[in-house]
Amino acid sequence: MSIRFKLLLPLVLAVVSLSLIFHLYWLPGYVLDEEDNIRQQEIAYIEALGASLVPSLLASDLAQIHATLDSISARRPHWKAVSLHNASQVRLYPIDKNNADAQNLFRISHTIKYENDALANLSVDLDVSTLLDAETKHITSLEIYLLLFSLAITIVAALLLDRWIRQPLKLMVSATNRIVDGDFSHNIRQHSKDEVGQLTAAIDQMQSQLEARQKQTALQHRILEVITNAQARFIRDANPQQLFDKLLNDILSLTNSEYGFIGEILYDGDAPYLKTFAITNIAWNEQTREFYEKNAPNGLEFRNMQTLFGAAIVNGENIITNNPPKDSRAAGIPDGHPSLDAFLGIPFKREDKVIGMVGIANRPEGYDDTVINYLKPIINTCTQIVEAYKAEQTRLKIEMLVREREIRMRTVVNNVTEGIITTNDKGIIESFNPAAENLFGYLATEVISKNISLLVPDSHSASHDRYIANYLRHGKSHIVGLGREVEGKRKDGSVFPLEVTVSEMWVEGERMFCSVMRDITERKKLDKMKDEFVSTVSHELRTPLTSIRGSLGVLASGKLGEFPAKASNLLNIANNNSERLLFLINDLLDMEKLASGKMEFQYKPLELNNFLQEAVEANQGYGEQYSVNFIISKSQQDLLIYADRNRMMQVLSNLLSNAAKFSPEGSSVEISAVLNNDIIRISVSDHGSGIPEEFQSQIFERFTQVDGSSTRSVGGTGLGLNIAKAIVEKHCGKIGFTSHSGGGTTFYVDLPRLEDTIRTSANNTLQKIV
Amino acid sequence: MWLRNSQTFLKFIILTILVWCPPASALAAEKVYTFGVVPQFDARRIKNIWQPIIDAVNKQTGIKIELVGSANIQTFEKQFTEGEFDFAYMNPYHLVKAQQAQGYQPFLRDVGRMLFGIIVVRKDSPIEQVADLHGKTVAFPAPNALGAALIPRTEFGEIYKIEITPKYVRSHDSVYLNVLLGQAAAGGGVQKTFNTQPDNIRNALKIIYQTRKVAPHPIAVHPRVSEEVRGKILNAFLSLGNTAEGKALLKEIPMSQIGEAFAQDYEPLKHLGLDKYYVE
Repeated sequence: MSIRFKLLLPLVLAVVSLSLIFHLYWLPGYVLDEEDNIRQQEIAYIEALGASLVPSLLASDLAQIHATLDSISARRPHWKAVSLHNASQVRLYPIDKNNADAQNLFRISHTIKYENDALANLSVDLDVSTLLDAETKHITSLEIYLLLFSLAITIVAALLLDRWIRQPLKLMVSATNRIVDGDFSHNIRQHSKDEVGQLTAAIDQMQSQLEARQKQTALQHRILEVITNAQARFIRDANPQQLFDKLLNDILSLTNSEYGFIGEILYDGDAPYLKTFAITNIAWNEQTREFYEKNAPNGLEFRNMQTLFGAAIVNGENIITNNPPKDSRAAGIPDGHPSLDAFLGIPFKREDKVIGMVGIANRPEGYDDTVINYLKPIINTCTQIVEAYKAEQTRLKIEMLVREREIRMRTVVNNVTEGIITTNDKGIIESFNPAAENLFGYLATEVISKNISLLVPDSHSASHDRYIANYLRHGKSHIVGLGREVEGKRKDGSVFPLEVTVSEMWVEGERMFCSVMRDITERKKLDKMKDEFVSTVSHELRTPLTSIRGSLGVLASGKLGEFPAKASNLLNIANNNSERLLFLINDLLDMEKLASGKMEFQYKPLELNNFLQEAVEANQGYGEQYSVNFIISKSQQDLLIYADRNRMMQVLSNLLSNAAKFSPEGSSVEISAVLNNDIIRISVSDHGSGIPEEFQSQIFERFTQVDGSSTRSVGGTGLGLNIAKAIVEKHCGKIGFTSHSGGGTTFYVDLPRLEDTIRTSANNTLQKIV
Repeated sequence: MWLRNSQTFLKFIILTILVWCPPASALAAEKVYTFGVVPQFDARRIKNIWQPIIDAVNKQTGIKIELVGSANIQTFEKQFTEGEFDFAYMNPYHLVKAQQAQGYQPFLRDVGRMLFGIIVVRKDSPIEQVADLHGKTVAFPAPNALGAALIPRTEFGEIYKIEITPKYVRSHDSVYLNVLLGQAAAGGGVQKTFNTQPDNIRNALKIIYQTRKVAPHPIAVHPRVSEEVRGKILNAFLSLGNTAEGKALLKEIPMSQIGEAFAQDYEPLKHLGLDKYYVE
């Protein structure tokens, strides 16, 4: 249904409806009313006529009456029959009786009176329809005129609607179809000054906007294509120059620029300089051409920052200039260089640091923020690519370094004298260096992927697996992290002593263990020889020394009489030194026992809080000697360990005496016992000068004292900590310290809480089970 | 000097008078003569008949004659009695009266016929003769209509010795209609008017009596009208009678043969005894 039809239809319907209403409703009503009016009018007329006939009636002037009635009848064709009868009903008019058919006629009968006496009766038969016919014809004519007029109006309206609405609509449809087909070349142009004109103008505007958006979308697609291609090339190509060459060409094409460059910003110290990834070949002579061909592939370097691009690098901001010759930032161009009519430099920034830039030149219409805006995605991509390229370069460098280090490490590992075995958390051997091969007699290929228990003597194999399991499960180390003396089993089945240090490491998310071990057979022999020597010597020394000390004690007691002061002093010196020798010998003997495994321990549950109190009281003398106050700063109730009380006291006495020796006078030494994840840490903290760094690694070695000089100010054998360490380790514990030179030292002993330990009688060794 | 100036002034006055006051002949030429017509018919018909004639006479003579109407016969009679008309077409009895009142003299008449009255009844009426009219209602145009009323009434009374109830119905047409429609047993008219009735009226009536004949209606002239003017008018009428167009006009009066009339033509009327029946 066309718009013309839709617009005209209501008009036509209105006209038809009005006509129907007029003809079928109004007109009949009007006719009835008119009929009535006519009758009333005729009645009035007839009454008036009757009145006018009175004189003639009175005068019996029938001629006048006839003439009057004839005349009126002639003028009133709707009077079909007129008759006048006198009071005696004698017809006075007409001469001949009326033969008119009275049907469908309306009779008006009027009595003509004179002075209340009836003179005559005037009767008129009206054919109202005649009058109405005329009226109806008149109205029908009017109807027809109105219909014709309406038709004319409709035609005019149709023509005007066609001109004002349909044709513009057709133009709009045509324009819209062209827009759908992507043709934005034609505008409607003719805009009337009404709502249709506003619509056509809106369509023109919409077309312009769609065209602009289409161009914008095409530009965005092009930009997306450039970015996608750049990213694909980056993933695919190892050669950055090809990638940036293409990217530069795409940017130049997008912006309709003549030439440009893309490069990274490097630093020579603090001075930035530009090194190109890609640069348009604008060589203008043989020299520049040679220079370009030789250097461009590796990147041209530009160090003069007093230039337009330099301004972008230094300031980290976009540079636009559409009149470079007059721009103060421009350094000028060499002779022969193609003209520079417009320049745009955009730095690539990452966290405010300029890492690269693009510079393009000679866009015919110049550069503005619009160009910068639509280049933004590409600039972001360039930034990411440059960054990724730099990271890749860095990664390659690091890889190379790592590789070199690996080679170095491998060389070291392969050449160390210690055996280095790495296992996973299931004890499967993953690496086995040549020294390990030598130690165990296996080739690496024979043991790799096998369980390390292969190298453990059968008697220790089960416990070794348990140690690992416990560590993995609970982090409780038996040998992990600790240097331990164990036994290994060679390929030929022979067992030999090893010193093993096991460290935990994480490689690519997997837990691994690295065991560094050395064959200590010789050392053990030497130690044994030394220990035996020490023991023998100690024993041979202690026996007479005890006698000497006893004798000196008696003499010094004065039980045998008083001696002169000098002699008394000499006696005291001799007594003290002999006591000192005794301590040394005891320590040496203890050391020997520990080393030989002959030291016996009486393990019992030991309540720490009370034990610490006793330790403090036992060593109070030391404290007073050095004017140091022992304070139990923290000790929880019901902390139990499974320990040999005397040996543990020995340990604590050593720590307390050391703390007192190295604390300034008047200071305090804090003792604490703290439970942490089933490990009780007993700490002894002093505020002394701390352990110098150079001695820290040796502090638990034999005969090591901070002051090793012959005029040392503090006493001691230098064996205390070593013995303490051995005792603590026999208790399945750990001893250590934290120290800062000048800031005090804290020695700590970590021991397992009582309920987690049981003792096996076989080796007199603590095993931990949960 | 004063004399010369007064002479000049006098000439000026005379000249002015002459300019403003037309000469007698001019005055005489500009006089409008009144022409009355007995209202035998309705005014319109009378005008239709007489105006063309008057116009023709005016044209021929250059004398302005104005047709003057009369509402009815009584008025007409009064008018000529008072000498309002310069010329008048009247019935013969009126002439007698006019002669007596103002000295009107006949100067033109239809010389081809004589005037008489007729008594008509419906054709289906049982009345056959005048004697049958005794005690009946008889319609007349007007009491003094000569042929239609006066002469018949005179003869009813003087000759037939009957008494009737006259009904004056204003016009000859009305008489015939009254008779036709039974409002009167009979009616008095004249042949001329009877003949002009429509067929349906004329054919429905019959004439039962004719009265004595007298000279017909003359055109009379007031004695104040100059001989010269009278002569011109006379000649004009007579000239009309000599042309086909004029004859046709005159026939409508009706005057089928116009000729000069003389006073003695109407002398017999003075002896008919009409006065007794004339209603003043």
